[in-house]
Amino acid sequence: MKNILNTLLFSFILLSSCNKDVLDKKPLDIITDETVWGDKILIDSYLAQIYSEMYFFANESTGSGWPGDAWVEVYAVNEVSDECMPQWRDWEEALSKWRYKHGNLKISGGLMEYWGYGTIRKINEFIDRVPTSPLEPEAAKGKIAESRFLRAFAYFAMVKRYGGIPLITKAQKISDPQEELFPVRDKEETIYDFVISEIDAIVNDLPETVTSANIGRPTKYAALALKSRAALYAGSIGQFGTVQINGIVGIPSAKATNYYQASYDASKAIISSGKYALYNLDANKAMNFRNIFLVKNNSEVIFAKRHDNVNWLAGGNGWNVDFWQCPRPHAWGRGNNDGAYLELAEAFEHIDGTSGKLDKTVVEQGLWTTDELWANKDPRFFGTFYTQGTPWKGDKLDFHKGIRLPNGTIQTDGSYEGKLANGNQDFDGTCLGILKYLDESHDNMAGANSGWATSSQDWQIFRYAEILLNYAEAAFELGKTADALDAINQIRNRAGIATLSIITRDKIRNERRVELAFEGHRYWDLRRWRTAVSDLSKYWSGIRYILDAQTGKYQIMIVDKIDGTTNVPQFRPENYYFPITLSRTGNNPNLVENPGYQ
Amino acid sequence: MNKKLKPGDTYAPILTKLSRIMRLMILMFILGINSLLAASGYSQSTKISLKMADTRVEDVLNQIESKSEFFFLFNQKQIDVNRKVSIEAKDEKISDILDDLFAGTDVKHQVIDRQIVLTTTSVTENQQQGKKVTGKVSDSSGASLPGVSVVVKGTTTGVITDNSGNYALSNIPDNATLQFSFVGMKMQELFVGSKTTINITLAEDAIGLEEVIAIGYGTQKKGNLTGSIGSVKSEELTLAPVASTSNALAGRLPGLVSLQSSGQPGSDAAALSIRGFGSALVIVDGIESNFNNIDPNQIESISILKDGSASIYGSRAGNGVILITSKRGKDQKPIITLNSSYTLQGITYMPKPASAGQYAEMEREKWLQAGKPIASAPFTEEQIKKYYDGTDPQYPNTNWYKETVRDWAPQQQHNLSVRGGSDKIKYYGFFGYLDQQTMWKTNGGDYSRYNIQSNIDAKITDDLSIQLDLSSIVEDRKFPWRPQSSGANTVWQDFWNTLPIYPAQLPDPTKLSFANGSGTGGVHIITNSEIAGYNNTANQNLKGTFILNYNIKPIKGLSAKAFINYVQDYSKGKNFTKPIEFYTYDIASKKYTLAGALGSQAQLALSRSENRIVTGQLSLNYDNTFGTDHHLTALGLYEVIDYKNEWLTTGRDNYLTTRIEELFAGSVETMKNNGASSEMGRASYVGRVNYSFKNKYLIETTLRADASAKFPSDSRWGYFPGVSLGWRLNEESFMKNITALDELKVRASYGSSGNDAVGNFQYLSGYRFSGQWLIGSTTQKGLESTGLSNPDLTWEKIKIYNLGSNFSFWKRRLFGEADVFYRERSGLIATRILTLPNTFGASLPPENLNSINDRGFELVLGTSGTTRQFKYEISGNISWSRAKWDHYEEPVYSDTDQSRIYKKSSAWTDIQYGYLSDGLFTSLDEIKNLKFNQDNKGNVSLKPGDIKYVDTNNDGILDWKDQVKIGKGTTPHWMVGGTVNLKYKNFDLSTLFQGAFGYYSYISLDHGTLLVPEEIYKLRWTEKTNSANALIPRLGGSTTNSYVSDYWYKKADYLRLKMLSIGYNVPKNIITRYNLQELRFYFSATNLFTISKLKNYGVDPEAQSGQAAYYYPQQKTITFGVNLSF
Repeated sequence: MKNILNTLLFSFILLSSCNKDVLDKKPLDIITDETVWGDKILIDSYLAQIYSEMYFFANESTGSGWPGDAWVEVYAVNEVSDECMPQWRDWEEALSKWRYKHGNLKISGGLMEYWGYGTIRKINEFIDRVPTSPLEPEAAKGKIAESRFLRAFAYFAMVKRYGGIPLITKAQKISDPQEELFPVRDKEETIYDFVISEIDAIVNDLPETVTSANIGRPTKYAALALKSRAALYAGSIGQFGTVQINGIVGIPSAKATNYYQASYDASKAIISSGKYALYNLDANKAMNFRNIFLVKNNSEVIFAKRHDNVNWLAGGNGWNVDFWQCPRPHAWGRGNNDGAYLELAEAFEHIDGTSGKLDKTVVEQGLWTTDELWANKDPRFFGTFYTQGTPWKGDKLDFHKGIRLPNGTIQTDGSYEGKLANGNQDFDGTCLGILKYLDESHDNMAGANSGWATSSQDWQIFRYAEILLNYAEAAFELGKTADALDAINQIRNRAGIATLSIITRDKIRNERRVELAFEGHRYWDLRRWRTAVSDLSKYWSGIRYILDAQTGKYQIMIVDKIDGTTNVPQFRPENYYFPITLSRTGNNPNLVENPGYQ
Repeated sequence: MNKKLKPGDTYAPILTKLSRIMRLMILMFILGINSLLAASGYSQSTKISLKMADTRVEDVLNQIESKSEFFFLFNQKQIDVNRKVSIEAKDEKISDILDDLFAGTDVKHQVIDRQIVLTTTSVTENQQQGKKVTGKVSDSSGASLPGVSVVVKGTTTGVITDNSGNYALSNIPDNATLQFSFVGMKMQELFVGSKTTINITLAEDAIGLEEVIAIGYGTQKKGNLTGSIGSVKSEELTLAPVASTSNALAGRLPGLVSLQSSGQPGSDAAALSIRGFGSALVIVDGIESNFNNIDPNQIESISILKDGSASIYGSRAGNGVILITSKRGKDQKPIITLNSSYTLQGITYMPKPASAGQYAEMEREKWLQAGKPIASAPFTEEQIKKYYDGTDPQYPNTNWYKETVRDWAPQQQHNLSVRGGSDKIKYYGFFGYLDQQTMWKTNGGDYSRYNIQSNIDAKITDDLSIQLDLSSIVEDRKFPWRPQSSGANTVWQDFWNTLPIYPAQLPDPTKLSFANGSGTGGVHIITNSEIAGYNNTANQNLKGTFILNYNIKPIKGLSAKAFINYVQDYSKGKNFTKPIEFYTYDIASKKYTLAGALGSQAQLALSRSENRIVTGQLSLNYDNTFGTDHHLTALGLYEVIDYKNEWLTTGRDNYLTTRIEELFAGSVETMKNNGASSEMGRASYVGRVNYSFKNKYLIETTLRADASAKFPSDSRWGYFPGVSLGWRLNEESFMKNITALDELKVRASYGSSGNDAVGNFQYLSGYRFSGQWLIGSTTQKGLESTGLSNPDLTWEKIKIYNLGSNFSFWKRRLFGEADVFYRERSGLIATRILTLPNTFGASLPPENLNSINDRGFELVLGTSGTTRQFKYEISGNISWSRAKWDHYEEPVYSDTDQSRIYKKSSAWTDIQYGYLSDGLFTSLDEIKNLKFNQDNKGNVSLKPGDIKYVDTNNDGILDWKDQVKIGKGTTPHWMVGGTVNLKYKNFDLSTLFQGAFGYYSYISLDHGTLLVPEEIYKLRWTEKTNSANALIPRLGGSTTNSYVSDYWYKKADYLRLKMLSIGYNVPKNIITRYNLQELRFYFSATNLFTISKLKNYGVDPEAQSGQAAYYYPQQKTITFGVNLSF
């Protein structure tokens, strides 16, 4: 009896000692706070995470779905502008942008959002902790400058979307006072001033150039480029916008000149540094223009998002431009994700500087070869678009829809005398694809679930041509027309078209539209110029090529309302700012909604 | 042993794990040795030593009982046990000791098996001389019943019937009453009177009061249950073969909410939740496991603990517990059973694809009705005509459903088991095989499973018994590589994007025909694993349990048990995708055009995962009856569970050839791999005391102390008490006269428990690798904070109250069970993000913030009866449950509409808000006269055929404020089930009806915008019909048509014939010639027909809301089978 009780007692004691082993478990995949902040490499990893969350670096893409440019969100900013339309509209992802363009930017928001306070908190924490880390003071200073550049960029990405927003420059604690935790919106100009003053504060802490192992980190000139762009935005909002809700949106017009001057100065500092030049190595001007976006780290690149050819899903840094924008054949039988509007193609002048607009009546009457149709076009046209007859992978792209029989009727299916009635490209779209950034050697037949984000071309966040265009615009608005003319002519000269003798605001804007097409500028430009209500509330057109069976030439049709609806695209005055949205105002009643949204 | 670790200390985990197992082993060893020592001397001539002075005879007898295997039977009135004696014996035979003890009295002792019966020859207290009574006990079929206890009422005198059912009792006075009792039989009492031979037939206990039901860490007689516990027996589970056991449970148990949302082989289990609480804890033979991959034939019984009775499982028990007990050996000659069945599976409801003509017509109609230019419309009238006509080969009409889906997919299930044993050793062995094929016609894959089990019970000595259970489940899932699950990027998306206007084959058979199929070429390609590649998974579950059970003799009724279980789950995945090119073909020019490709190079992905759980339990059990009235049982248990999980993935791309499907053949540059591991642990102390007085008043109290490694050490331990009371009114003397009454019991219970499903280690903060960024040419890994930590995080706390009753009248002509419950859940995990602006920049840690309360009731009513040839049992059950948010972490809504629509606190958890529709517009005038702005564009986008909404607040514009309640959630509130079991001669018929009510489903047939389902063609509004009640609005209609509204959100109520089984037992006189015990042929069917409004859309009512046509459809089955035992 006693034995047994002893045994039992002993057994219980024995087993109870298991408790500690069983219960004191540690997660095997978490790295502790001390480890991270005590290790230089891990501190860099912390910063790498901040970069990786700055999705907007690549053409304003968002973090919805797949982060950044691995997914089609990367084209949204082009698709909601007057540059192009999404063509895979049997697909909800594409349809949402198309709807948005047709008046669906409402209080619920939803597209191209960037409410980057998560990243800003990380940066604030980083700035807080780096000084006490094992980093040497000089290195710490550099890292802080780098992170302040990122924070300024994040605020710029937000202010251009929402107008004034709360400016938070320290990592908040739950115990902080309510008025800090529930901040009101700062004025729009406060945010622009913050961006500019931050750059002024750090510009000399950033390196003149980076080593090859550090390409992708900002230099002094990347910071100046941000200032050049941000101050230009602030200047035009001051000049063309209206101050509303006590300056939470809008900038007083009196301040416009100061901002233009700041932009002008920043651009000038970059230009006069002599570190950058317009890319101009190829004799063939069209090829030269294409190569700006294919040759990594060329003389024009100021700041770029680096890419490699490894799919983001597989832990790499590839993006999807080739898989999405390529002509056919394409793994999904698609390709040609975006169809460029004919109006944009027409904005490209002729080499001699004459208007590129097609005369509808003339064009639709005759039969044309593509060489005839696009004769003497700005070489940048051939570097920006692909269309009927564009050479591609040893062949010529075929967009034709229908075949014109000798009796004049048009056959739309089957074949005629061995010629297929339709080409193999997306002939129901605008028939203008986007060639800019496309790598002809990329294999676009890759698997359905992999390989779609394997393009390795770097995305150029700031390139020298933009600085010249910023410079021209700021100079023009400041009345320095000679500076403006010179900058624009540098661009035109490199492009291979006639230079101008007189500069106008329209000329500068058109040059910007053409040179920077599909680089994520147009939508924001139309907004800050306050011309979007007229420029984005109209129909656009596309082109049709009908093969003439006898001559092999094409009958041309200009298709109006190519978006395929009777509803006119719509950009309402309130759309100059995104809505704060109900969820954010519900979340913090101190945030006032932007005017016009309800 | 209790090693203290300082932070930063490292040690080899394997060693400590080993030592833990070692400790358990040592423990078992010690227990084993002890018991062997204690029992080693046993024999009929057992010798013991005693030294007792001035002791009562009774104490001496007790001492002998405790030192031997013997126990005494005697009549206290006859034998003076209070007599004081002194006795000293050293290694003497018991019989000699007894001779000494009773020397000088008339007490005689007689050894019968292990009972020592003490009798007197004299008559005391005017009692007449007893006589010998003998007899035989048999069951209703006439078979003898061994092991029946025969006791003289009011005494401890009694015997147990021998192997042929005979008994003999001496010294029985005429005025005595004999009680005959046996598990599963109704207790009977007989007055002896003048009889000396009493043969008796015991009737089966139809009410099942003596039936033993599995409860937490033990069993309980059904009649003595105080909690709300439902149970299903093996026979009911195997009426119609199902691959997933959960599907055999639907409709059988009141309060069990089930929804089978997929018919995919190997993944077709119904989601079960007890009383709508959410996923319950499933315990199989004492171990937390999955039960859907267990062959239903292996299962002895299933119990579900619905109320406080689950509290004994503590922090995991909040949603109730499902207990599965597998079959074990029996003290009988071996019976070998063979079950074999062949099943055909067909789709219940699924929309069918439209024809080429219908498709082309709809595409054009949509284009034109959207107001797009006629010139660029996708099909011309002439083309549509040709597609309808079908004679021009340039205009094919392919029925892809016919091309790729089979009407009936086969399934077969076979199992062989053997069950038998002696009183020393009992065994149960099982081998089962299942193969379930998919609906795809060509190389579409299958699910196959092997179940192996061996359960051994052995009595090592009279005090020590062991149990050794070993089982293995091997599952193979072989499917084409594209996911078969649901939603976008699955084979269903491909299916509905495969267009009928493309031919099924091309003249050149080596070229695959392109039919769109969202980039995959078409469903004919992607469902064929030979062409497109495959995704195979093999799982192996190994489980071993070793149990030692030891009776601690010095204390009557006390036993100790040690339990150790080891589970290992292995999973292997192999995903091989092959490159495919597909073509379009022009007949006139005989030209092939490469339309696309799926993968340029083959890819292989392999995965391995390993899951290990070690469970150890040590328990003390006490079970004793004091006098005749007091029955006390108690349990004390200590449990530890240790979890470990590891996984690894690897793969390569760019295979030069698809013929080698091995890792080494891929390109080295594309090698990739990943892996991780995790650990978890639990420790618990469990206590339970049951007391019953006169079998009338029952009380059960439980207490569990639970600790989980998921939580910080300060908030790790939780204490979960429960108490339940029962009153068996039919045992009351004042009720005894009511002959109509078989059973009447009322029960009340309270229990507290928890839910720890909150993720592991949420209380810790640190960093994890997350994003990546390229600097220079090096990919930098991003480090992301795991978020602010909450060191106080703990499990949800749950309290449940239950009131219930069991009743039966007129020998079960009417029987039933009723329960009502109320449950409070507090401390649900939520983050405060909703009340702190997101400018804060970090997600706040999860906290125990929200609370919910549930309420509901269950009712079962039935009738049964037996005549000579005919046996029937009909019963129905109905249950209702619903939950309300008590507190929901949310902003304070100042806007009344926001508050009305979004506020969750104090609202039902499952209200759907949306717009109210009012049919379709049928005329332009109707739109012109509309008093409000429906589309926010002055109604210019509206046309006849668009949905007309109601401006519920009459403010002249349709906006979010007009949303009202349009229905409830997508999980049923009302569940009903009905069974009819009939037996006539050798035939048996069982049916099970099952239904669910009070829930909704979002119906959308066009996922994306391709118009393939024929139902859309048939149900759509057209200009011709111009019906306000068409189920699909005009194609290409206003964007307002896609608003969430009652137009799409539909009641999904249904009633279906879940199961039907008709069997024929070959008569005994025939089969005994072949030495067979049983031979039964049967036909069974599941989901044979359904009553549901969603049929109009071709949608099964159990379809996942919003995924109609976009998931593997539910199956109906037809089975032919045979059960054979010998």
